[in-house]
Amino acid sequence: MRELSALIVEDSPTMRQLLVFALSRVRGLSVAEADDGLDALKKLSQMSFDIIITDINMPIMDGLKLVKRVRSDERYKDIPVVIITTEGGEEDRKRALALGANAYITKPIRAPQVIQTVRQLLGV
Amino acid sequence: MSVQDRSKGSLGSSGERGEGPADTLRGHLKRGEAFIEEILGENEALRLRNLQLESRLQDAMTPVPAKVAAEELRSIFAELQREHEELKRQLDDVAKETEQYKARYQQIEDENDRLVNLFVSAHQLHSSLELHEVVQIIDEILLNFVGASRFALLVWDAPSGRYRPIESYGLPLEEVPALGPEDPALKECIETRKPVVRDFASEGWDRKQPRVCVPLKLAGEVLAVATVYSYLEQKEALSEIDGELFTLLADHGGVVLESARLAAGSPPVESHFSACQALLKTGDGNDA
Repeated sequence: MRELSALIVEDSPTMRQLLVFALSRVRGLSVAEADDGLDALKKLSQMSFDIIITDINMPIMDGLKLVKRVRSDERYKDIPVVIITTEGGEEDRKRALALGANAYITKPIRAPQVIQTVRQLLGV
Repeated sequence: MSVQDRSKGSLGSSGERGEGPADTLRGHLKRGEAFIEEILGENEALRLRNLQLESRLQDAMTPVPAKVAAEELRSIFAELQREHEELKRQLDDVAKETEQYKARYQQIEDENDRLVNLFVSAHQLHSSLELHEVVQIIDEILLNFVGASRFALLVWDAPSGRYRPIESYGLPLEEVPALGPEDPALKECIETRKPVVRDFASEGWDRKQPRVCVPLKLAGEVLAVATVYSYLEQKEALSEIDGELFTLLADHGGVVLESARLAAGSPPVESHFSACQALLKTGDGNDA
């Protein structure tokens, strides 16, 4: 079976570490990390990913801009994107999904929820 | 050899011996007599066999009386019902076991989640000696793991005898009131040296009445206090993990804050070994 890979885009090292731990429980999934949207685009150009998990509020390039860029690029437009954010309002959710995000998870973060969402989107 | 073959053989052999016609005829008659007896015996045996078969056929064709048949059916039905009950019981056992496994799985998942949160928090808290990074990590734990939306960090100021704010999230720092150890909002937390959770509500807040006070301790002394005023709107309730995170912050927060403060003020050393050795020798007299 081909190994799957995930890209975590998050400026907080604490959150990144938690997500890496959580996703390490998805068998056959390797994880790469990016500090912000711009760093994520750089990593996307260097290797292929099966899923992107991104925060919204980040310096340099935020998560929503990243989703927009990913969806408008032929090379990445089919990669599922999960948004993780503190914004729990329905409007925020709708906005993120309208931009092309596949799932929307609100903080406080719980590892089982992240694992379940990633498994569903990857079909594993 | 069949009866006919045996009869032919007897007749064929008589001409080879050179006996008289009378003897030959007597011999033929004797053998004929024996042959007939043999035929009769076999006939009788076949007749008996035929009678037996006819009798069995008769038995098979005789209809079983309704009462007996019903009794037999009842017995078969009872047996099947017993089997059905047994299978149902086994199925129930399996379903119960599955439920138990599911509950256990959920328990392990929750435990994993709890441990991951605690491990990452502890690991991050001790990952830096830069004061602003340590403060940021405390912020991240409260925001991302607990789900607090307004909170502050107040540090003990001996000259004023109050805990004064040095960091806030979700509200301006100047709006966070300094609190004294006797202030009702802090009193219990300072006295017990344990996190105090006043209430949970996702709406409304009062900057003078934090919902949570966490004493950040160093050697039993409350060096600072983390205060939570409100939670993210999607947070529905406080969980066991939240309580454990508050306890973790209480036990480690003071240590990491003081370590970072000391590290910032201490000059760089040429040799960590020499510095440690010198400290051990002058420390508590255990240098022998």
